[in-house]
Order: sequence, then structure tokens, then C-alpha cells
Amino acid sequence: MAARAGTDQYTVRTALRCRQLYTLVACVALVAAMAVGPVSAGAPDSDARILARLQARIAALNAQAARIEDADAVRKLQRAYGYYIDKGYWGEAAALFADDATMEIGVDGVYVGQARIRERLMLDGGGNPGPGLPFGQIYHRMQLQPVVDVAPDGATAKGRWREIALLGHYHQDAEWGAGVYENEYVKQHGVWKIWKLHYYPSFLAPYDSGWAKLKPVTGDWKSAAGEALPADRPPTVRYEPFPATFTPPFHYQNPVSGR
Amino acid sequence: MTYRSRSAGTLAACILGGALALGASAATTAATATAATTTAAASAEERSLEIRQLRESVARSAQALALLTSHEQIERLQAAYGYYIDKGLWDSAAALFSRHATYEYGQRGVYVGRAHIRKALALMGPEGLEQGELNDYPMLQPIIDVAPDNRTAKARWRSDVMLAKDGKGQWGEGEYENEYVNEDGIWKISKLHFYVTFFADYERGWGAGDIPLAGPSVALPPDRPPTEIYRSLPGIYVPPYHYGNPVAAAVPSIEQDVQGPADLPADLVALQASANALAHRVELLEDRAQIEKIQRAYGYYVDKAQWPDVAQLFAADGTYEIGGRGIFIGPKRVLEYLVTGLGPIGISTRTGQLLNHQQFQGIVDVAPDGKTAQGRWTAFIMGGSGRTGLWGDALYENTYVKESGIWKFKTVRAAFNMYAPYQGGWRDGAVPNTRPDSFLPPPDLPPSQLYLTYPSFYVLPFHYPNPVTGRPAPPPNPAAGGVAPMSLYAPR
Repeated sequence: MAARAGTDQYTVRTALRCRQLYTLVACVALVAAMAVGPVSAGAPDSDARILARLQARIAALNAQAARIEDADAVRKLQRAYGYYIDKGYWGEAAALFADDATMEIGVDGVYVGQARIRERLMLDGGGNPGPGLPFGQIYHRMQLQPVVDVAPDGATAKGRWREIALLGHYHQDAEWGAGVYENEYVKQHGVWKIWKLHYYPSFLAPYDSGWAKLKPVTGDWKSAAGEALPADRPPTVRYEPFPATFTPPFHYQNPVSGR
Repeated sequence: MTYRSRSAGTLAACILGGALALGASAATTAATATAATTTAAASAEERSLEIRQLRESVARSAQALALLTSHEQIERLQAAYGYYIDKGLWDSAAALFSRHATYEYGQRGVYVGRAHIRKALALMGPEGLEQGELNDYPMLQPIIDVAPDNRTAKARWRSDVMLAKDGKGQWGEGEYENEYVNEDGIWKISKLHFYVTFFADYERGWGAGDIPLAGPSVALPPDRPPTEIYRSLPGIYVPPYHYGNPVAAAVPSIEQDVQGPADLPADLVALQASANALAHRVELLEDRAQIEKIQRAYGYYVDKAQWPDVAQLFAADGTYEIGGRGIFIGPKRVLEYLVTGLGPIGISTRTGQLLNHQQFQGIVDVAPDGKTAQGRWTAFIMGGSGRTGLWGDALYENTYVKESGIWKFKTVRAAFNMYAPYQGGWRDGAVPNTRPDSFLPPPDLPPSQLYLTYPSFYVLPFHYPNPVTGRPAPPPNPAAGGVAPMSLYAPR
């Protein structure tokens, strides 16, 4: 019944337009057709264009869904990175990177390729090969507040993240860490990988006195891991951490003003 | 056909329609009045019905995708807001508001309009901040609900605030209940309301170092007084939720596959398959969003000891296992455990209790059939009552089930990683939290796994293989991990 009502509606509306547009011949034919019986609205030739349009709409919606799926995959990737390093899974974390990936940490410089990235991750985490952490260590680096933008071609993506970290060793030391990532991701053979990781540490503060008592850095403020394992390339951005004011560059324009 | 007449609605459509009718007429005339004609007419009607169903299915997918896309944009918008606030970029932050938006922070009153909001933001400090000023407002644990018309939205967020000025540090925490408006395809903040749970002096922490809320600024009076009067810790206030319980108040989603007749022509079969595939694909995205909502709502309910709401999130046979305390089966037992083991319903106003059970870093994987899902989450905990604060850190590995179109908790399992007193933190203290013998009521089943918390090492198995290699993570190397003698648990 619903289909028939739809057909009638179509006929009437079409007829009205026909009159307006003086295509009387067609209208007469239409009326004649009605008199004969139900209009075969679904005749194969007639709805070919409807079907084509529907197919095109489905394709466009699939592309829209794919963008969300890609952003989800990138978020999963970065969160998985966090969960691996938290627990001393350096190999698993390094495997999330593309073969030609880079990792840049603060002013330490740029590490190139999975092997070097793994080495640096391990050193940052205390040097224990793992997987796992030694007794007494906490190494919790939370990956938070994503702003992920997938490129229109769906082949690359960029993401800004915030890290808050609980670090230390039982009866030895405790620290708060904080910083921002501006990362790039690449999709290779359908799999998203970390392509360029760039972590801008904001501070590493001893637990007792906290971040407010930190003194400005002087000169080269390379980390201990950066000293022990010199990077392959110099840093692309030189800056000073808190208490200096520094804003890691944004990969995106202002979401409202576009500036 | 209504779609065609609506969208095309032109001379061309008319001529085509006429020509079509002519053709049909000729065909009908040519045909003899036999059963064959009846069948042709019926299948034409079937065909038209099928096309109509397909169009409706695609329209539903389009609508759902529009809302999901808005959900993404709003999450991005609020995250971007946080990154600007961090750095004192007031102009950039103010630009995210709609022209007549409102802004309310704690008990400082309501500022109306983008220009006034820009000035109110600057009450936090000079543009760009000065050396030694920290103004970190992470934007966390979002629950975003876009209105079905895709024009407005509401969201709850939280922030763990880290401040510094003049060599003094502060911790803070609070919830946002915000509103957003879609103006010509661009989402803007139309209402920002930050409810402060607490601010505390860094060195003394919450409990001992609570800082009362500031009232309205004299230098820059707000347009309106605070909409709600409350105190921060040791006062207790539950900012109203814009959403109902995501399980008890959920609207079931219905399977909407288009089912055509068996003798459908090939072109429609193909179209039906792609429309159904799209609908399924979109539904999986909706599933992921709904599961995130359940997990984050769980955190907000635990924050305020709203145990009945927590229990309602579970399937009838859902299980709850936290901190190595055994397994409780079903909402009734979950509720009994929470009330007996963790305290009465409703957070205590008497002692200034803090139970922040923040749900971060979710990895949710929905099974391809859309009936079950798994999720790994970090719980970052700020606890304590009276004069003592407590840090906590836990991992969840949960499973979810879709029953009659509603997602619920199937198994909730948390492994505590670290609990430490505020004073001295995790350097000095480690509070054991895996004592299956130390609580009431008795569980329905023993713990699925005995493990030790910090300073020992334990990792909950990952529910997902490595996202790049596709291989499962190996078990931890025993040589890397340590086992803690219980004597080491005593705070120094």
C-alpha cells in the first residue's frame, strides 16, 4: 500500500509540474498510463538513475565512515603505545612505528627507525629490557586529550596528545611528568602506524616540591637518556620547558575561526 | 519515487516520467491480460517498495553518521579549547564560543557573550602567561550527546588541573557540563560550565590543603550570579548530569537490515548488500561510542558513590571484579559489594570524601558481529577523606554485551596497579589492594587471578593483538618483574 501511495503522489506532483512547464504531451501520456493501471514505477530502465544516485550516496557515506574509523584506529594506536611503554613492552611499542619512522624527544633530537626508537624507549624507561618492569618501578605515562585529523586522502593523519605521567621507584624517587605530542601517522597496506612521534616535555617534577618550584633550565637541557644515547639528527625545534612559556606548534587551525 | 520527484523535480524529471509512463503504457497495452501481467505488476510494486526501503536505510545511516561526525568535531573542539587554555591563548579560546555563549567557572558567576568571555578567561592570567605560570586544564573523560536534529549537543568533561604561580603549585579537579551549537556546519561552545570539585595547595594536597572557591570578580563583575551555589571540597556537590543512566535509560537500537524478496533482481541485490553493509558499519561506530559512554559514566558514578547507577550498568549475569577481591555476579550482588565494601550510597558530606575514579585512555574493540566488545581503560584515582589524600592507578579490562539492543557491562575486571598516600606519594608509600581475605561481603567466585600491586609488577593481559603486527603481546619476562615481600608494603 505504501508503495502505491508513493506512486500516486509522484504522479500528481509530476502532473502539476508538467502543466506549469507546458509539457502537455507527456502529461497526457501519464494520465493515460494511469487509466491503464498502476504505473510501473519500478521498470528497470526508469530507476537506473535512482539506483545510481543511491549507490553514489552509499559510497560517500562509506567514505565518511572511513574517516571516523581511521581516527579511531589512530587513537587506538597512540593509546596502545601508552599501555605498552607503561609496562616495559619496548618491542611492542617500537613495532607500532613505520619502518622509516622518527621519534623526537624534547631537545634530545631525532631517532630514526624502529631499532633506534626501541633503544631510546627502553632507556627512557630505565634500561631494563623487559617486557616488564623491575620491582619497585612505576612508569605510567597516560595518553590523553587527542585531537586527531585524518588527511582527506585517508593515507596520513596528525594528532595532538597530552601526556601526564607518574614516574619513580619505590623508596627512591617519585616524579610527575607532563607534556604534549604532535605526531604524524601513516597508513601502510591498510594498517595505521606511527610515522613521526614528537614529544615536547613540559616538565619532569620531583614529587615533593612539585612543578611550581622548578628552576629554568640553563644551556643544553638534554635528558640523561639523550646524553647516553645521542640522537641520529639534531632537534627540529629548540625550546625551553616549564617554567618558561612555550607552546608546541598546533597541526590544526582554530576549529571555529579557521585561523 | 518520491525521492526522485523531490530532488530532481524538474522538467527533465517530468519528461522522463512521461516517457516512462508512455513506455509502461505501451508495454501494458501490448501485454495480454494474463497472470504474467499480474506478476509483472506485483514485482514492479515489490521493486518500488524495495527501493523505498533502501532509501530509508541509507537515510538512517546518513543521519547516524552526521551525528557521529558531530560527536568527533565536538570532542576535537573541547580538546582544542583545553590546549589553548593551557597556554593562556585567550583570543583563540574565546573564538571557540558562539556569539551569545555563556561561561561559568566555579562560583565566579556567568559571563555572557564572546567578548565578555574573552575578558573572563583573562582572569586566569595574562595572554600567553608569564614565566613560572602553569595553567594546565586537560580535557578528559568526555560524554558527548548530540541532539537528533544535529543542531545542538551537550557534553560532560572533567579536568585534572595543574597550576603554578609565584612558586606555589596547586592541584584541582572539576567537571564540565557544556552545551554546543552547530552554526552552518561549525560546532561552537554555546555554554561552558565548570563545576569545581576541589582546588588544593600542592604541598598539602586535598584534605589538608583545600582552597575555598573564589566568588565573583570585583574587577570584572559577571553578568549573572552563579546558577548553582555549592562549596568545593570538603563540601560535596554532584553536578547534574545531562544524560540518563546509559543502560537503564537507554533506547534500544534495532536491527535495520533491509530484507528484500528472494527473487530480487541482481541490481537491487547488490544495492541491498551495500546499504546493509553501510548500516552495519555505522552501527559499529555507534556501538563504540555507546560503550565509551558507559565506561565513562561508570567513572562519574563511582566518583560520587552512586552505587545503584553503577549496578544498573551490568547485564543480569554481568560480573564485577576489582582489586583482587573476588567476583560478584549480577547487579544485586554488585550493589551489595559496593555498599558493604566501599561505603554507603552517596558520597559522604561529613568527611569531605573524594572518590575520583577517572576513566582515561580507552581502547574499545567491538566484535565484527556487533554483539560483544572489549575495552582497556586506565583509572586514575584521587581518593581520600578527612585529612588524608590518596593517589591510585588501575587498569580495567572489560567486556560488554549488547542485549536486546542495549549495551551493558558483561565482565568488569580491574587490576589495581598502585595506591599511595598523598604525602610522600609512591616514593614513600604503597597501599596493598589485593587482599581477597580482607573484606565483606564474600564474593560469588574467587578472584580470577592473584597478583601483587606496586611496588611489584603485574600487567593485565591485553585484549587486543599489537595493532600493527597483529601478534599478541608476549607474557612479561619473569626476570624483568619482581615479587614483593608483604613487609615492603608498610609505609616508610
